[in-house]
Amino acid sequence: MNQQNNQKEILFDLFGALCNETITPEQHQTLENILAEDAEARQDYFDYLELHLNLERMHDERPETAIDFHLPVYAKPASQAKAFSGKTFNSPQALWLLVTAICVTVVGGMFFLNQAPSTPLQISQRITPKNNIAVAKVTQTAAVRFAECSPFLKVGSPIDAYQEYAISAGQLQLIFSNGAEVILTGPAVFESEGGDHLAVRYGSCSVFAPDGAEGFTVETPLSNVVDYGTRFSVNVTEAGNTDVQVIEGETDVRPIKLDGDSVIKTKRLTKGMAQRLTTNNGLVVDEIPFDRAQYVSGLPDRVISYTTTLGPRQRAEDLTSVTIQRGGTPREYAVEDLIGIELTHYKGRSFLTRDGGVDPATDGNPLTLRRHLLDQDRSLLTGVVNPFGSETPLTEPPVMNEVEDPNQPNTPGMAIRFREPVVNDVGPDIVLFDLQVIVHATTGDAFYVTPLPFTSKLKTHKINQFDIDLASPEAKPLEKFWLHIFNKNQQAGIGSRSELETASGNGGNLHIVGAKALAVGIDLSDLGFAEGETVEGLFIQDAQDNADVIDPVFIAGLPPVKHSKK
Amino acid sequence: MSNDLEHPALPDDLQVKFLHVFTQHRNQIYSYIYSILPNRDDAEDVFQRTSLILWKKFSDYDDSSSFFSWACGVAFYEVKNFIRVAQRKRLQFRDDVIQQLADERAGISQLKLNQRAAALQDCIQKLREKDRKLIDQVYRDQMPVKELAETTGAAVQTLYNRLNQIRHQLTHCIERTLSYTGEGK
Repeated sequence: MNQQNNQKEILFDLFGALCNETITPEQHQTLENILAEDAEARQDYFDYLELHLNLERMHDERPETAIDFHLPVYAKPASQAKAFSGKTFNSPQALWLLVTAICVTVVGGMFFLNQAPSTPLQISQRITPKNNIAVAKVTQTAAVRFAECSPFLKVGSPIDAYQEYAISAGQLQLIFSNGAEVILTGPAVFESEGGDHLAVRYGSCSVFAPDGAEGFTVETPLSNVVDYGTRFSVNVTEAGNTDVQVIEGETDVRPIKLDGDSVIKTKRLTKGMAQRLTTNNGLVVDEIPFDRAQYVSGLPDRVISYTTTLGPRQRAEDLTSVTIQRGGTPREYAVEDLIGIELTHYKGRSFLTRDGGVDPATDGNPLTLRRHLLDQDRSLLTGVVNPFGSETPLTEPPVMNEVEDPNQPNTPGMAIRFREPVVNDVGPDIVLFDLQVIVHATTGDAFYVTPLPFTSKLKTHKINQFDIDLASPEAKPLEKFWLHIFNKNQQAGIGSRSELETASGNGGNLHIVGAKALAVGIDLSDLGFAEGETVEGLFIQDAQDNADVIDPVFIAGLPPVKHSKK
Repeated sequence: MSNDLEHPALPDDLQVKFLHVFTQHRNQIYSYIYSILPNRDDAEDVFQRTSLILWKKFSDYDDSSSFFSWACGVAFYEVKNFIRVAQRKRLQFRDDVIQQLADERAGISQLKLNQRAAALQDCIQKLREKDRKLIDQVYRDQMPVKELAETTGAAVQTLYNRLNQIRHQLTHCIERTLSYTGEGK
C-alpha cells in the first residue's frame, strides 16, 4: 500500500469512528488537524457523512417520519404535537398531503435522479472493450448471482469474446453462434474465444451440441474437451481438476501438455464413459464411474421473465405478460389469459396505490374498492399488502369472517379465490408478484401458502425464495407508488375484508426508496394436490421470519397445459 | 403555558409557503448542521432549534434569495450558540475549522449529492448479504451496536470495524459508479 492510500485508510477510519460516535479525543484532534489543512480530506469528509445520513434516510420507511414536521415535536410533548397539527391548520389533511408530496418529491428525487432508465449500472463491470465480438448470448437465467467484477448478464445479453464472466450461484443458459447450448452452474468462471469455444476456469457446465455444432470445445485448465455431436458435462474444481462425463455421442478429451515430455494421448469418450484429469507431479488421467446426474439438461421450472408497460420514468407499471417454464417448456402468457382472483379475506396493515396516492375508499366513487388494488388491476405498483402471518404453517382451516368476531378472531393473513378453479398441471400453476423494496431481503419475503378449501389431505407450503428475486437480472424496477397504513392501530392493523374497505387510512405517503417486482411460481403439487386436481383459492400468510412482510401486488392462476379439470 | 406554535406568528399563506420550502430543504439543512457538529444528539438539538427560528423568522426571509443559504446562516449561528452554551461537553471542532467546514459545505451542489444518493442505491445491492443485514440492523432497526454484539456473539469493535469497512466500500463503489457514468466526483 502506498503512502497516499495509507493516509486515506487512516482518514476513513477516523470518519468511521466519528459516525460510530466512538472517536477518542486523540483521534478527534488528528481529524481536526487534517480537516484544517487538507481540502480533499474535507471533501471526503462531507461525502462520508452524507453517505452515513443517506443510509439512515434510505432505511427510514416509517410513514409518520416521512411526513413528520419536526417543529411541533421539538416544542411540545407528543400528545400536544398532535394537537398542533390539527389546530394550526384549518385543513390539516390537505396540508399534510401537500407537505408529504413536497417532501417526498424532493427526498425521493435524491434517489431517483439521474438513474439509468432501465438496468442499474453494474459498476463492477470492467471497461467494455472497444471492439466487442459477441460469440454467444444468454437464453435463460435461474437464481443467478454475479460475482464482484463480473459483467452483469440478463436474458438476451451477448457473451463477448475474451471477457471473463463469473457467477457465484445459480444457473446461466447460453447458446453459442455455432449452435451449441451450454448450461453453467455457479459458482463458475468462464470465458470464450469464439462461437465454438468455451473456457471453464471453475465450475460445471453441461453442453448439448446438436447437428452442426460438432467441434465445439470446452477448455479447462488441464484439457480441451472437443465435441463430436453429443451431450456431455465438464466439472472443474478450484484446483483445475477436471471431470468429464459423456451422456450421448462422442467426445475427445485432449490433455494439455504440462511439460515438454508429456505423452498423455487424446482419449475418445463415448456414451456412459467418464474421466478425471488431475495433477500429481504431472498430469494424471483416471477413469471414473459414470454419473449421469452431473449433466444438467435444463433449468428448473420457474417464472423466467415478465413484461410490463413503462411509466414516466421508464420503469415498470402494469403487467402485460409473464413467461413461465412448465414441464421444461417456456410458455408465455398474456396477462388477459391468466386466471383472475378475488380477494376474500384480509387481516393486515396496509395497501399500495399508484403515484398520486388516491385511496379508492375516499375517491368519491362507490364502485372502486381497496381490494380492487389487488384483484382487479394489472398494476405491479398497487396491492393489498403487509398481510399478517404466522411463524408456523397453518394446519387447519382459517377463520375468515367478513366482519371479525371478537370471540373468534379472524386468522391473520389474506385469502384469494380464483375466478375459475386452477388445475394442478406440470410445473408452476399459480404466479404471485411481490413488490420488494430494494434494501430488503434479496430473496424476497418468505410466506406460507395454504390451499382453500383446506382439508387434511392438503398441506401448507412455505415459499422461501422468489424465482425472480431482487438480484435477478429479470427483476424490473418499479415506478413510484404510495404506501397507505390504516390509522386504527398500526401494529394491530385491521381484522377483516369489510374493515379493509371502511377503515380510515393515513392518507398515504409516496414511498421514498425504490422497489422491484419479484415473481414466484407456485406448484400445486407442493400443496398436496395430485396432477389434474384443482384448487379454488389460497390463504397467504407472511412467514414472520424477519421484520419485512410480503407485499402481493398481482396473483393469478395459469391456464392448464394438458390436464382437463377433475 | 404559552406556546408559539399554538399561536403561530405567520399568516396562513406564509405557513403553507414555509412548510413548502422547509420540507424541500430539511435534509439539506440537517446535513449541513451535522457536517459541522457531527454528533447525532447535538445535531438533532440544533436542527430543532434552527427549525423553530426559521419558522418564527420566516417573514424576514427574502424569497428572491436562496432559502437554503438563509437557513444555513441561521443554523451556523445556532451551532456556535450551542457550542458556547454546551461548554464543550462533547468533542467539537475548533472555531476556524467549523467556519471552514460551514463555508464549504454550504457551497456543495445539491445535484452532486443527489447523484451520490442515487449511486448508493445500486451500491447497496452489491454488498454481500451479511453486510446488507448488518446495515439493516444498524440503520433500519436502529439496533445499538453493543446490543447487536451481544446477540451475535461478535466483539463490539469487530462490528464497528465492519461498519467502517462497509461504508468505505460503499464510498468506493459510489466513486466508481460516478466515474463510470462520467459524473466524476
